Amino acid sequence: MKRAAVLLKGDIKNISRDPILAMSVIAPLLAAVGVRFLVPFASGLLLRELSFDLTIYNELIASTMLLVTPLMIGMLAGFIILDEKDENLLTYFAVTPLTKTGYLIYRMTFPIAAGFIMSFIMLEIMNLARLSFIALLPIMLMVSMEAPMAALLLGRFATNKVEGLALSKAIGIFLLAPIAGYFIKSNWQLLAGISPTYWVSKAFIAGINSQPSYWFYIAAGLVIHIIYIYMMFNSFESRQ
Amino acid sequence: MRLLSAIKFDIRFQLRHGFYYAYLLVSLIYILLIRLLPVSVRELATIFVVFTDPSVLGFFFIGGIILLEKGQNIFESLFVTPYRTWEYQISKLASLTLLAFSSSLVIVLATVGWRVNILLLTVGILLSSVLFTLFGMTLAFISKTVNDYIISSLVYMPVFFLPMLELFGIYKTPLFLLLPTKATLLLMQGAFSGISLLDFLYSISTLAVWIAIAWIWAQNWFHKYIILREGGVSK
Repeated sequence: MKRAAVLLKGDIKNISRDPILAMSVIAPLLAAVGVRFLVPFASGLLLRELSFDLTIYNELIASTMLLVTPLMIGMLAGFIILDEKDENLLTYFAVTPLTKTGYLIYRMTFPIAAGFIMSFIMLEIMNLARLSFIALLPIMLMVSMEAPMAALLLGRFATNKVEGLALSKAIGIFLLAPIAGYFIKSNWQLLAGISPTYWVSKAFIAGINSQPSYWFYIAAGLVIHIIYIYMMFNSFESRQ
Repeated sequence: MRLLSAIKFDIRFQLRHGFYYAYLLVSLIYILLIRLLPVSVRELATIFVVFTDPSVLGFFFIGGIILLEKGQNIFESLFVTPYRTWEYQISKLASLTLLAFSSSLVIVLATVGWRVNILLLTVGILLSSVLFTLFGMTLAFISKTVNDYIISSLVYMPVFFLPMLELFGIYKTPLFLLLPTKATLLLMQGAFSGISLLDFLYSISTLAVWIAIAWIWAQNWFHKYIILREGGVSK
């Protein structure tokens, strides 16, 4: 606890120095407000001009937007890891009583918590789809796990911040999985299940329509998320 | 040619760091998504995508490149050689603009095909890419970390994307004409549906003026914050 307190003190200093943590709260809020006003506007426009009904995609839009926040927070955390890697701080942390595991757990705690809380708030603001709190809870658990996943991906596979930027561009592909899961009707869509985001979106949409498959998506999704995090956590530890 | 070998080296560096793979993937995703849309809105979607992503990718990447080189203290040794700062800048601009152009072209050709004025499109992408890479340089010179860089950019980049409101017919104002992005949009839209001579001249000169200002600005801050290292930016 005391060790974490030292790091936390450093982070609080960092908030005043560079506003990253504040940003991971403000940016999702702005995005949610944007969606709340822009989506109805776009729906109206498309219906008038092209007789295209966008509202049938509300659940898809909501579930995809839900994933943007933790991925973004995760990437910001990933860049902190990369900065500390470029400055060789990681090696330094590893030999202190904090240890590398402690360091990683600490680095992941804020993204998980922020992802979890912000997702609830975002869903409320966007007002596109409603789900009971109980049904939402396991989904939000998965959502909040996207953040450490993005962070570990950057920290593990990018050798420096330049590669980190290229990789963060590619991480955007995770947002395609929900769309593939929605539009591809055959069982080929399960291929998109390689991406954890697929299960979040599937569970969310099944939950809204109270389909029994909800439980399947939750169970499979949680297992997949935990496997990914476990694998990447271990591989990060042994690699650095 | 020193400059030419510098550009070649930069392209190789970017290749090795996965820029081209990342953009190949990103372009493919855009193509897939745009092709899912009804034909009538594909043109608009293509302009939107090229305008907001590949044409400004230089901004995104130059920050990481300069911050990395700053952290590794590369500049100190680089500029004791005959290599000049303007050559460094030209090399970065050229290499990143090549990537921007390739990605944009692939997206356009795969979504709307050859029904487009390639020359006009090229001019729009090149000028936009050069301008935003220069913007990125100035910001990178004074940033400490990538997050610092990304967050500062989130504060002022949205201003430059405001003319998109006009693209979608949401809000119109002649004030947008002051922004270089309005000029870029005119060129890109012109590549699909034609452009008047006046609009063309306006777009070219607006972008040229912005680029000239950004160039001088980048040069100044290069000397001030990197060469002379005022304000102790580097460790």
